[in-house]
Amino acid sequence: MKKVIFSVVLIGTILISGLVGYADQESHAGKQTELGSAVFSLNVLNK
Amino acid sequence: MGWNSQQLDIVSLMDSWSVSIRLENQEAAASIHEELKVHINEFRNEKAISFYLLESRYYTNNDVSQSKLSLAKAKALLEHFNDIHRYYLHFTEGMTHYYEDQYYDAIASYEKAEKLLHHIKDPIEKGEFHLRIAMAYYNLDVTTLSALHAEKAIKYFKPHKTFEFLLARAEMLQGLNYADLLNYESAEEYLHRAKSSFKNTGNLNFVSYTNLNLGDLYVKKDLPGTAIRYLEEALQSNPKRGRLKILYLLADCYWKTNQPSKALDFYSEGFQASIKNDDITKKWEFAMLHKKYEDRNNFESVWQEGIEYFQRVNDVYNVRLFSRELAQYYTKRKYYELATKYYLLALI
Repeated sequence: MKKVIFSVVLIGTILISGLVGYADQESHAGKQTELGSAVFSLNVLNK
Repeated sequence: MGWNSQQLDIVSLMDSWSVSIRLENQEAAASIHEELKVHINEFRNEKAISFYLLESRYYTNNDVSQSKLSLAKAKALLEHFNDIHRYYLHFTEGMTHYYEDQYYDAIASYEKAEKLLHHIKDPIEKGEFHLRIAMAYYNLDVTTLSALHAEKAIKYFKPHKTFEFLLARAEMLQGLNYADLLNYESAEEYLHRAKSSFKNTGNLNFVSYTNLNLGDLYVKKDLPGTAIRYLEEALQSNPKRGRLKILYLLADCYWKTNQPSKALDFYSEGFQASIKNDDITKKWEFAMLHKKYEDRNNFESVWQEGIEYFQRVNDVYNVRLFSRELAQYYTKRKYYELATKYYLLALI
């Protein structure tokens, strides 16, 4: 039962975010907080 | 040196380069980049693709146009791409969009990368994917999805002590998500834990960013005096990013704590710097702050004009933020028609 409720909440969240996305296609935010610069690893070398 | 040993050196150099970029060691990354560039003509397709994708990532921090140029060079070899290259191509494209503040475009690229994520076996890289997409959702105020991805990132990073830095980044972001959800207690807990980790790992810029974020949290909690302590600490370390945000919050806090002369100093520095940097959004933010505390006669007109500017550039966050405050102002004065107008704008 818990799993079903979680799935419904998750699907609901995704649908809502999709709608927001279409409504504000070009919008962006100007928050006063800072997340820092880019970080990720790139281990393509040994593939 | 024989061909094989030279190849091994290149592989080892590229690995070191990747690590330096990951740990934000700009000096080492720049030096390895110079060394690798000498060999670019010797790289076969796969190595060349790897080099350009990594180079694109390397430039993301400082020069987005260079980053795009490197991506274009990688794309010229598209017919030789494997699925992992394709994953990194979309992922890196997402990052370039992110650093141009094009968050929806960033998410579109990350979604393409997500379809190829199952080819990536390294849990740290999977964690980094979730961290990046969570950052884009955070900036768009889609808090639930940001929190969901940040939680996944934390789960991937947590068992790996070596990557404490990345865990701290994910925890810092989760702290900000909690702040947006008005759960200030959890926000505080996550942000302080992140700050302590950044101190451990020696990432001083990130200690400063966390201080800025803690300052912002205490402003939201209506504790300007406490916020000042963290914001002053953030400013002292002269961080790479976020200086104007710190100046803005400090000016606001000093006005709120009845220290107008200090507030004016920070306001003047921030306003001049925003003009110098041609940062029109920040210029409006500083101008509106000044009218709120010092030049009340022009408060209404400048705030109305500022909100119109934020609407024009689709800065939804600032439209909501300033409209809510202006609506409250009009409500107190019983100008209900204007209050309704700005409450509606606060709801977009």
